[in-house]
Amino acid sequence: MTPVTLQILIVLAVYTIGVMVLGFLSYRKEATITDFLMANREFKYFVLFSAVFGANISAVTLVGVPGLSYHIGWVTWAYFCTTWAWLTPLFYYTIGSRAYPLSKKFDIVTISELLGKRWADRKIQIISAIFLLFYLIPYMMVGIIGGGKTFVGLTHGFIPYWTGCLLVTVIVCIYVLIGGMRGAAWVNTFQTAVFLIGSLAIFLVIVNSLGGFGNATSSIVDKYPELLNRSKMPWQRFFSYGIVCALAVPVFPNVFSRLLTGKSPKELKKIVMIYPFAGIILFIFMAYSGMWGHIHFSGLKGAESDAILGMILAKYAPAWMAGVLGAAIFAALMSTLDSQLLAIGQILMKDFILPRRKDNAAKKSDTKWSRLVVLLFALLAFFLALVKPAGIIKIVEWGFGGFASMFFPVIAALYWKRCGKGAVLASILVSQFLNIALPLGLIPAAQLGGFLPAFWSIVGGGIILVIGALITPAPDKQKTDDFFASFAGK
Amino acid sequence: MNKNTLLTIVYVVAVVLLFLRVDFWWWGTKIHPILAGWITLPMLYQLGIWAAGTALVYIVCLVVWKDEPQQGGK
Repeated sequence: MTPVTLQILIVLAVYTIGVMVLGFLSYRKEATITDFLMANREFKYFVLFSAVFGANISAVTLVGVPGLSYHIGWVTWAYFCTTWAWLTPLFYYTIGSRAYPLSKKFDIVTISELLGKRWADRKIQIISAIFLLFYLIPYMMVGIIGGGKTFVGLTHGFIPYWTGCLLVTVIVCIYVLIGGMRGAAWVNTFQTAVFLIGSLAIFLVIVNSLGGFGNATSSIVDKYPELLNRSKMPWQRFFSYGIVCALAVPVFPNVFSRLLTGKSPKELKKIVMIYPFAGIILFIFMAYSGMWGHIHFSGLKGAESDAILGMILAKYAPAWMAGVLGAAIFAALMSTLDSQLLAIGQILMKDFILPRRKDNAAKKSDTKWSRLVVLLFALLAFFLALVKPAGIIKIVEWGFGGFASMFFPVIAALYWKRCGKGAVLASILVSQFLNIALPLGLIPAAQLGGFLPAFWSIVGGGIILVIGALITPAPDKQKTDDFFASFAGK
Repeated sequence: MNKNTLLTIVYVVAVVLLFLRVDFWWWGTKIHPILAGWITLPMLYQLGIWAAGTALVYIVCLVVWKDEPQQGGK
């Protein structure tokens, strides 16, 4: 191990200890299951923003975006931000403003619970919960893969990929298992500050290493013009991913449940107003860092470019700074990983275990079982991450499609009284079938018109939902009215 | 203006922005920076789409989304 690597590891160790201490400080010996999974819905806007933004910003942003922009250029930030950064917070209003009073009235925590309660149907609840769990696993893998690759890049391979993956998994498990939602949110507040400030510093280090913005860009114009003219990004993919990403995030199980942890809807409104700015700043920093990184490290193939930030920092930043900036990358991916682990605990408790009890009541031992389940899923994601099935962006384009396909059913649950449970069930099944079958070649890729398969699964599910709702009987009027009575102004 | 009408307009404009963001006419053409040595016209265009979308978010937060007492809460 070189002295530089040692310094980087010392800084990362200090960061890790800080994270652990926060996790321990938030420990509640007598935590109830609601406290463990939802922190008693007590967050004010600053912690709520950190919890939601931290859950949203993952290895995709600090590892996948630089990796993708290395290959296709600056357009990567527009690929995400010219829809996600503003449309997702707009949907936080659309969904959050109605889901919040429902969550208070019916103690709703998960999307599947919301769908099940709306149509008083266990089948809808269980099927949607299974799909949400199914897509959470690859999404968790993305964080673990990102952690492994960043360790390799920062330490020049001294810490091998599998050890990096294991370290990330173990650290997150420790503070989630100890602190639950409250611990994760406190840690996320610290982590969000670290990755927002860290991403600015990474950006400046890279610009400095290339002699300024103008020099960096003129090198790109001369040597890699395709990174400026977007010829490597088909417009159909650009169009379709904008929709997939913006629709997926509000129905991520880990984001949705955190939208409901605010003290009041006022807190949610405040974070909606901060979101577009935090989003675009972060993505611009990361996309240009990856694109300009091409000048220093040309010739990386495929998913190798996911390690570009770590490689640049290890070469051009002082060792201590590389360690701090490495911590920023870990902060981003861990803050998502912890929320995903908690979301899994929430789905298993709220959708599978509690409804089977006669009184629906929680027991003291539930917190213990939640912790065990969280640990088992973390281990599953870790072992799957060792296989490295694809680059980070490839995995999320598919996984996000699965989540985005739940968007229209959620909107129907909150806004469309006429929509019956048969239509929703058919919509979920058809869209999920398409999202899984299209990438496997059900229809040749050439016939998808260049659009992402996930786009067609959303469109297919939406059409089925509308047609189904119009041709099937309306749901019971009294039950529907009771449900909609929860909203101010109905 | 009625809040529901305003909200409908917001969503319609949001859909229009989804299409406008695909500035295919510049796609693959040779691009040079026009500002500060690194910012190009397509970058500014995309930034404009983001700004328009963010304006919609603020319209909703400041005009439509009122802090009404919620019914049915615990």
